[in-house]
Amino acid sequence: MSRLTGWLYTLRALVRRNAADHEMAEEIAFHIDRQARKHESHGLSREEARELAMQEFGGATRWREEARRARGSGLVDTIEQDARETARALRRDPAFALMAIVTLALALGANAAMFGIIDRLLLRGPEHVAAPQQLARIYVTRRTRGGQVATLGWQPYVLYTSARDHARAFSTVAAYVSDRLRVGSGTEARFIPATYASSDLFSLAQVHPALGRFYTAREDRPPAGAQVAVLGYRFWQGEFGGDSSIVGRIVTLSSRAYRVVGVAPQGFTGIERSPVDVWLPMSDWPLDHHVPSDWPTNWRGTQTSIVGRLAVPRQVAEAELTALVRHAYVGNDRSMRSARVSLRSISYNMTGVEPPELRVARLLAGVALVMLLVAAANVTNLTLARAVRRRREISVRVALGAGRWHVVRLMVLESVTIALLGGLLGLVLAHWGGALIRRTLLPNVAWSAMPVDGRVLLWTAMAAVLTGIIVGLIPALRVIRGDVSAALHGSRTSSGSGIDSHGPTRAALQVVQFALSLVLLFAAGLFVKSLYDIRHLDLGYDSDRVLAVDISFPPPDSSSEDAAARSAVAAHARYEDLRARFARLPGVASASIAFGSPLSGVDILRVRVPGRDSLPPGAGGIAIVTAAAPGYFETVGTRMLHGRTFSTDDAFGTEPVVIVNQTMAKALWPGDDAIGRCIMLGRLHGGPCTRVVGVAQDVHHVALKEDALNQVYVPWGQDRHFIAGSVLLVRSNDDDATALVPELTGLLRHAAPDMQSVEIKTFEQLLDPQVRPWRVGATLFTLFGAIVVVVAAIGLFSVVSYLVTQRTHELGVRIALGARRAHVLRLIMGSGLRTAIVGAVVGGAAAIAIGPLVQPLLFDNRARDPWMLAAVATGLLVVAAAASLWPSWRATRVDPLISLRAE
Amino acid sequence: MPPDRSHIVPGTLEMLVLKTLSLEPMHGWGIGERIQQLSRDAFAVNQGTLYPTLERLLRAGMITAEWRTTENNRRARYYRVTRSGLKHLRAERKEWERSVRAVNLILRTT
Repeated sequence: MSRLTGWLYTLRALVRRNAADHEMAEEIAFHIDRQARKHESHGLSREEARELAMQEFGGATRWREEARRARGSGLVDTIEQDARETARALRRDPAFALMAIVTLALALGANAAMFGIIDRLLLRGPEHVAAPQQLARIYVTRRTRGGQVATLGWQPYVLYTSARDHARAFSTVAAYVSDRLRVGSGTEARFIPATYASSDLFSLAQVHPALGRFYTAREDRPPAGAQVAVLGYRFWQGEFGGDSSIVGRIVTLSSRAYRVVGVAPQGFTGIERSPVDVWLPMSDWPLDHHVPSDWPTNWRGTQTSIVGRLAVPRQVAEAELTALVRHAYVGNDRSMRSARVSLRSISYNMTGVEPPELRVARLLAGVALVMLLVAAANVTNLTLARAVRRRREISVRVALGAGRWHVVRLMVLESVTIALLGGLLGLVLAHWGGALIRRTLLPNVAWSAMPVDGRVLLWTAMAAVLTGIIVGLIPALRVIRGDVSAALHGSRTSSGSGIDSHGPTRAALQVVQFALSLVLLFAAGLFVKSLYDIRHLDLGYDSDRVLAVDISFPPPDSSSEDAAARSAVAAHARYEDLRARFARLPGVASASIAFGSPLSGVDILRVRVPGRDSLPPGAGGIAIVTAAAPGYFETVGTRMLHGRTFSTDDAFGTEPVVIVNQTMAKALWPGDDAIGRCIMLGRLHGGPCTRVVGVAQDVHHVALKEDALNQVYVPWGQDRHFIAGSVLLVRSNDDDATALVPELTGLLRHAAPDMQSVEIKTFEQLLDPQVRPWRVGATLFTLFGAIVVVVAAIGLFSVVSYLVTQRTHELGVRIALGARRAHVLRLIMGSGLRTAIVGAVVGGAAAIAIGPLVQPLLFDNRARDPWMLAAVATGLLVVAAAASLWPSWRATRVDPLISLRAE
Repeated sequence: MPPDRSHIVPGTLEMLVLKTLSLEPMHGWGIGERIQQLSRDAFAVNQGTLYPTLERLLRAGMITAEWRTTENNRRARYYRVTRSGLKHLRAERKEWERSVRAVNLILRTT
């Protein structure tokens, strides 16, 4: 047979399949007609003849199928037929289909959502940045004065120029500083994220402007440069409606005028992942930041982040840059002579480690995979149970000549269909859930794409198909291997060997589900406990009742020393006036003023004690300073342990006094009273003796997790240093301090019309970014854990129900022979609980094994918490008991007569 | 169906169809009838296998089909054997006779 003609014939048949079918129908009609006439001529009546002819012909459908197969167009028909059969099978068992689809949808949805996040954060890097894996940030590790080793990603600008001009480590290297700029003024003022970047940042990323151009190296030559700006796409759209005539126009940001030269492409965020609304040359950066004029060449400032594209292997580059830093450093910090340069991933934070939200995201992606495993195990179990239920049908098919391969194909097709439907539903869930996770877990990341993009779609489709194949193949192969004739002959008598042969697989899958459930619940429990601990942490202030009102006024007149002193006095009076007005508002318990209050910046002073050469190590000779006005301690809720607080008498020109915290009092005067002692405070004009008048409790000044630090409080009114950067503090009568915000804003609109901007936040809001990883971890782990437990419970329920159905006959016999109901209940419950217990034990072992993995993400609590493990295991067993209770109870109601008669 | 009529020897239907069609073009029903007739009612052709066989032969290019009007003025699909069909028939026939001889040799051995 010529292969070509065969193909051509098949092709023709395929193309004109309808016509071919039509012809065939006509041919059959003709055949039957002739046959009938023949019978008629033998003396049969017309009807009889026709009937006989039809009968002889047999099933026309089958004939048609056979003919089609012979034509070679059978494959298409097979697919069509398979699809039809699949749809029919699923429709016939909607409870199964629904349960399987929903189970897989939850798991695939979680995976799609997490993949979208991981893809953006870890796999693809920031948008518009070419080959991000070649980029690295410069970190310098050195020994600090306190004897600790610190690694930081903030470097002096001069390190950037040195690396650019004298090192071969990078093909391109850029420096940038993230900042924010003010748009508008007064109570309407808002801040936009801005980045001061050297002009080579754009060539480093290999990005092209959406409009106009980027600024050039000539426009960015610190200390001189052009006042030009490149707008971020979002800002351009939001503020200027995407007006393309923006290029060449002047925009005013933080009271400075910039000429717009271009617009960055949509989604471009530079090296960082948070949105950037405006790009400015590095040369413009110091003007607003009181930086010494030699900043481009001195080694003191450490604010810029330096990122380069590696031109040589990482270790070679690190060695070269380490030599460069040690050689080029000018200054008297000896630690720089032994400093080490390391090059690390741009996704790391400024201390050179992976940020916690990324770690949580990574962990959650792992959890999502675990969910998929559990869901797949569950659906496999359901399919297995269903396959056994369908054994008769399958046996009949095989007996009628359907190939085993055909049966396997049908079963796999069914499960793949289910998985794809689940994936589709999962994508809908991922669309909503992904957006939610992004908002709560990573609100600072610029997400330009939808939660579900092409890559997520592809990934989900692949995951769904793979899951479908596995879920269908395992039961199909098991069924196929089973003895066909046994299944045909008697479902019950053969059940002993036939059904129980699936027992191990099913039990194993059930155990896996419970083990994974336990691990997830355990992790959720740990996170919830972390969150609980954080909520009940004594921060040293009342975070929910205190508002920090951060106002910025126009810069003071500093043309002469006299003018500066005058404006300081005026500003002083002004803050005091606003404080008094705030305090009079209804709903306000008290108001105060502070510089360097918790969560709003750190100012550090050198501390010495007269008559002592050195201070105890560890605590070091430094302290965090807070300048506090009268009423500060009542307002923020920091408790005094000894002595007095500040009063209006501690004014400018009176005896310098200080309040120290407990840690400092203990470090300097262990076992002794601190009150009345003298200390000397760095640059403050306290002279030889600043007298300690009180001891306050320790507070968390910067972070939720911090070692106790020395803290000193000085009277706000006693020193003129503390004007710029001061905040007004307001204590609310009510638990919800945010309710006061509109009133405060309204008051400021009248009382301070010249202010440039105001930001009002509760301490809680200031702390929120730090609490977020734990809150998100607790929420999502609990959610994922709950889903997995529900899935596992459904699985157990259906399996036990199924076992009861299978054993109805046996149970009937037992009851007929006098078994007590309680015994039957125990029997069935026992089989369900046994898998749960084994699962809990396996899961417990796994939880203990992976504990160290979770440890760094926890807040002070141990990952191997035996009580938590016990609690979670108990909870899981209760769920398992509940899930097997109903089917077990049903087993006790088996009527022996009915079950025996059914035989 | 009379009990003394048996089914076609498996694997020979193609050859019989080609032989029938080499005598004259014929429609499906006619082929069945003719085989029965030629075999003196020894063979009954099962329609369930006849038409797929015809499709197979069509696909292999050994026969062609066209719609024609019968003597009774009805449309019917007539099949005609092609050159390659005839060639195939000759080959098949040779092969068949060889096997029959071989089988007979064995059966006659006493």
